[in-house]
Amino acid sequence: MERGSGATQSGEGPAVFEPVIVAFLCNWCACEGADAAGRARLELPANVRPVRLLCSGRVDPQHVLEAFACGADGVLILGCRPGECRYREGNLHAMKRVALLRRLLGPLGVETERLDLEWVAAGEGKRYAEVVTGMVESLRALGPLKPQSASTHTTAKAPDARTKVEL
Amino acid sequence: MKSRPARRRPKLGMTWLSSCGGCEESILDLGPDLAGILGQVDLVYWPIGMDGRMEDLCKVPDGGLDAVLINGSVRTEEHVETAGLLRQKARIVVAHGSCAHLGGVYGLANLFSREAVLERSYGEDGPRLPRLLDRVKALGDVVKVDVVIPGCPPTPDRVREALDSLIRGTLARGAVLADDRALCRTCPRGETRRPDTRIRRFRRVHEATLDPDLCFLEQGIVCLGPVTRGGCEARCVRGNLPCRGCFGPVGEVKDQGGGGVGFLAALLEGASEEELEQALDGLADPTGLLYRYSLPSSLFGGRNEGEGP
Amino acid sequence: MCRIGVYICECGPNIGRTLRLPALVQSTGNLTGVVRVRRVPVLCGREGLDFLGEEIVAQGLDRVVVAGCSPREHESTFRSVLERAGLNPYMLQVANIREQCEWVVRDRDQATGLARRLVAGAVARVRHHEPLLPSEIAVSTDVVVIGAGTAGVRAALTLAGKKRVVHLVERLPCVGGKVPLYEDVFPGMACAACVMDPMLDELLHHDGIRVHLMSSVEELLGFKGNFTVRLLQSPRYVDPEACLGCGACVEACPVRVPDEWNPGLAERRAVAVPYPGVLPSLAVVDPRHCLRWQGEDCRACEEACPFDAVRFEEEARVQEIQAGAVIVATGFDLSDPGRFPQYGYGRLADVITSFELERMLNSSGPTGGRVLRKDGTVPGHAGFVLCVGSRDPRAAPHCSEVCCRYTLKFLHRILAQGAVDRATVFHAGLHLPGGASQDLYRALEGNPSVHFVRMGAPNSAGILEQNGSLAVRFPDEEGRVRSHLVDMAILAPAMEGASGNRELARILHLETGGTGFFDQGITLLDRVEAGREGVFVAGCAAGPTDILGAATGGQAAAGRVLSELVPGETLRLEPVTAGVDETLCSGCAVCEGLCPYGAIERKDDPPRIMVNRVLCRGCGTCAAACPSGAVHCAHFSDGQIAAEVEAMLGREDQGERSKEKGSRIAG
Repeated sequence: MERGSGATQSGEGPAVFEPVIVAFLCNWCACEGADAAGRARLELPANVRPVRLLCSGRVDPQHVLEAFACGADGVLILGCRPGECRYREGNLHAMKRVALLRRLLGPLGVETERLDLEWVAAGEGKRYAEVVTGMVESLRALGPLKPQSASTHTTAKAPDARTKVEL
Repeated sequence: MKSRPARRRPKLGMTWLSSCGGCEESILDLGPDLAGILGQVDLVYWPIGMDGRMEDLCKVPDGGLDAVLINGSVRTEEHVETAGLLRQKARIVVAHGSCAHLGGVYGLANLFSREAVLERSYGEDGPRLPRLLDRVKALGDVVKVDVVIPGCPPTPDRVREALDSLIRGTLARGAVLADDRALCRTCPRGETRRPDTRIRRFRRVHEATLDPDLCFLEQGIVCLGPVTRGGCEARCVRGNLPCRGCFGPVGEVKDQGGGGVGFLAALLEGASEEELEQALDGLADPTGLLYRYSLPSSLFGGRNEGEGP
Repeated sequence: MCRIGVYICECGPNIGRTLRLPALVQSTGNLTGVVRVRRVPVLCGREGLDFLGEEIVAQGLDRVVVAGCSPREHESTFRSVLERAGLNPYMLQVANIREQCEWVVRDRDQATGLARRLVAGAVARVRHHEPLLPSEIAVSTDVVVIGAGTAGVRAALTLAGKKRVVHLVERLPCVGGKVPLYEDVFPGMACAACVMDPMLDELLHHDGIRVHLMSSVEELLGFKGNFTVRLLQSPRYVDPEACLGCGACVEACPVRVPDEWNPGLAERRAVAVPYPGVLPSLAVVDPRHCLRWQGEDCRACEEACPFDAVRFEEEARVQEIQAGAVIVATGFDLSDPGRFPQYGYGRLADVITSFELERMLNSSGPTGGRVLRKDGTVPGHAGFVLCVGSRDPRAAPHCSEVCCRYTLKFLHRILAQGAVDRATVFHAGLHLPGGASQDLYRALEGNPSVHFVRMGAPNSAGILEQNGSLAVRFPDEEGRVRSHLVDMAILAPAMEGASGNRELARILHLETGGTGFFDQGITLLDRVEAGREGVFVAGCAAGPTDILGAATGGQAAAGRVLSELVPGETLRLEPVTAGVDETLCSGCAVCEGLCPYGAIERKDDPPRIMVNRVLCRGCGTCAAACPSGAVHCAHFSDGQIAAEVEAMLGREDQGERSKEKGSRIAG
């Protein structure tokens, strides 16, 4: 199975690292903005895996950790602009979580650039394109995610002592 | 009606892996009850308390121990071997204490590579040690665990509960000997928590004069009670110290650090990145704080897929 | 085991030019749970929809994935197909391979790879979908309207016109709000009483409207469709059935105090009929000033009343009302210009507010319609100072919207009756929207008695006494300080939310902004949203507006209530809401402080929270913050999100866990 379906062979040139980014999109502004980019036929990198939620405030820090654990090189959260959240302050709560989450992830070897929160209004297809393209480019430069302990997570279930103890 | 035959004394083993000895203390903390309990079990293997060699253990038939209590983190290849051997010999494996349960405080070593850890501790010419694994693991990462006694260290009541049920023959596989709900449920300060409180800047314990009756979060002090299993009788809180999370997260929460971020972020005051950064500047070492006991069993942190059990 | 059908829409010529559909069909067929993969030319067309419905039945599908356009376009269309085919509509997931793939990725291999991941994500997610059913609850269609000014009255009459029972709650002893106190109203210079009185008369005689005067809302419990409203009614000490408002009691009262209805202009008695023409025309005893409450046994009014209407023994009454909705129409107050000492208001005798001028101009007011200085003389030159406190971030940042226009009204009125010789308007840009306002302005152009003078900034003027006149000083647009002498200065103070709004906001669980308006829920398409289900805000309570705006707001709020709460119909609750697993909740209350709709309530014994599904709108911020994993979010559960993320990252199948981290460097 291919990892990072965006991985390109750049002909004879040097190898290009293609990051995989999970993007959590709020339904009202960010999704609409992404669709607007599509309707305008803007060119976007194939590196982004969009996940549609009702509100950026729905993004649980554990969803972000899970994405990194499953091999994402970056996580992008997109919500309505401040003051325009469909649910009033969900985007603000997302901002608070991201601020703390970045501090949690730093010592684990996850650079700040790998977790981003941006506002995209419903009509802002161009901005959506700029945001995702910008993140893809910065992660291309940064390279693959290498956790601090020089090892990566596996979802292979060792017996999980916390909850499921098999009989 | 026939009278039931006297139950035979269960055969018990106990050992430590990478451990500070606190979990062994939790056995001694049973105090006067300890003698009675020891009289009702057949303690076969307990290297710290009595003579015990691996060779002797090897001679025990597979499944010959009714239960084994293992404390400490899995740090070396020797720990993996010991755990594997005990798993083979015991019908029930009990993860005893936070280190075996979640990886424990030693798990914070996973923020660094094995080489960096050795280098920092021993410099150039270290002692001959069993080979260190790439990372610290929880017991459940290397063998199947049947029962968990959480805590750093576990409270005497929880240890007594485990041993009593072993003696009565009711120690059930799958049990986590703690509450199913978070500490707040039984916290004596629970009712003083107000939902709309926001924290402008987190404070550390030594930076504040602590109100002995008020929820720590109301005082701007990080308390991990909301994201930690209850069952410890809120001992730290009663001692006027905030919960640090040693019982681990409740069942539905996959990652204590992530859950901690979720609820602590909710308490932050601030509507701009600058204000938030300011509020967070009062929070020393969030990674060490939120993963103090659970980094090896977190979703993302210090896992190594190159190295199997 | 799931039976998932995946339908790949070609969207006419739109999908498949870049994407390699045969490859997509093939990889999709290998995904766990997928029993059917079909390409369809146009799935959203009549034929496509019929085909999808038939497939669901014929293939015995229990879940459907549509890969095609954005779910924002046709998710609801396909959901209804599922429903008609006997499947729960929520057993659908849409993978957007058009806007977010075909149309934006140019490389065919890359686009196909991305589409595979999008479809794999949708398939993995739909495996975790659960059927969701809307629930329904009975509702009360009665409505509580708070405030009997223009907005509140229009709302009440609109509702009563459709046979709703309306409780109109007013803290004053009379209805109508501020407009009946004016002589005439802009832009058409209509007579205020002629506009208001018939409407107020209809209100007071309407069978479906219960007017609760001198009353305030003390508590609001419950939720949309099922509110309990506790009212506190202060005693009038006069029997409304017996009193005719003849004023005999007023004549007899020995107490004189400043008259709130005519500030700075008149006195009233401790028993009073508020103002001439007031509706209802009833006397009211003011216990703050009546001698009986000062320990004296005065019975002057009681003895003077020809109808035995005085009731000193009357007591406050508490009443509980069941209602389905609440409309807040508490109006505005003018801010106190005394906050800005440079205007000299309260210190200089002939610096007055626009409201004081309204009362002077009222033909049944304290001066009988004449404009008089404090010494009783007629002012030769009147100065109108606009933006007093408005459009100033240090005071009220907003434009109060009506001041420019009522100033034109004043100019027309005083010039028509020859009340002054000359008038100067000190403004910082005139706000005169609409044709009628422009007509008012044009009619003054070229009039030698009227001057418009532009100030450099709003709220920048000051007034000094100078040789018995008033000097209005202000920096002009070039920053030069200029000064004009006038005999009387009329200030146009900023409008702010009515004085009780903050307390009312606390009771209703709403929020007010810095200037006391309930403008927190308002969006571009909705001026009556208050930020809480079943509660609406109308008129100046939502921010400054004119009489027409207030009336329209009242009708709009009434319209929302009429469309949302219909007699005989239940309230359909959308199933995409949060819920709580009580076996996990510790009652830590983190979520309670996050919910923007007050949908989460803490319970004791044992400590836990409950989610009110009527109020919840499903945003999920509570679930994201719950440190116990106890709050879950229907249709956006942790399991569903995790499954989608894992599959999109290539981890959907247990056997195929990738270890290619190191080999991702292509080339």
